[in-house]
Amino acid sequence: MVETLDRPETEQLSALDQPWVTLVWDDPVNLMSYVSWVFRSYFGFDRAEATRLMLLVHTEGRAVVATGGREEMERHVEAMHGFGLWASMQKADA
Amino acid sequence: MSRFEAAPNGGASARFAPGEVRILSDLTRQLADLVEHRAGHNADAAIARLLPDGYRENAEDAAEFRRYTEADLADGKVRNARTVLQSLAVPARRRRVHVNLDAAGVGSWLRTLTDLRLTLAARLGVERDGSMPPGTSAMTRAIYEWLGYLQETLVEAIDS
Repeated sequence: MVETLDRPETEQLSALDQPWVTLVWDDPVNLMSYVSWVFRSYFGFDRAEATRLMLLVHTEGRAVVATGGREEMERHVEAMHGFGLWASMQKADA
Repeated sequence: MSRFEAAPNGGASARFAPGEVRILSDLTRQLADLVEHRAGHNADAAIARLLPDGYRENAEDAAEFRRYTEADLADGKVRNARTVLQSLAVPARRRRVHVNLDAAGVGSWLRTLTDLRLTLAARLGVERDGSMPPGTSAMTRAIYEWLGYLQETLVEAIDS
């Protein structure tokens, strides 16, 4: 990972880097119907995919809902926090 | 116990009894104040959950992400709460409040109902399986359940 203070430059290089992922974590509060609705309305997933990911969060404790550049994942995580979902980002597993 | 129904314009509507309006307004006002005048995410379990870390594996990245995003995220939560309060504000002599939401209103309500439940759960110490600690009062349990019911019916209303 190249360390720079200049974010645009980091983004240019990100294509050569390991991708990042957005994770959504299980919590005891959020309703399954709501989580599924968030996945559809924000990411544009169809009902089957949104339900699959929601169930993955529920049963596995977390699910990868997006993969890509770091800045894009940061936007997704911020949006998920806006919906009250528990999300974080990290480098994709090698 | 009031609930949301689908409305013809693609939005949703509900009729709340005066006691329900009072509870919802009080809690929502407290939520807006809590987020607006927050001390810091380390000092309060509710704030820590409402404004969580964006990185779990690296404290420096988490702190930088927070510097970039926390103010906007918190402002959005306060704005949504104020939108909910506005839709509940009606002349005092009315017996019931009829709330009619368009798509934007639905978005604010769904997010605020979520934030209310997250805050209550953090404060009460709701367990991983969703159960409440033994000492929780029947009233608090009923309010928490009702907020969930409102949210469930609101998702259903716009999803049909």
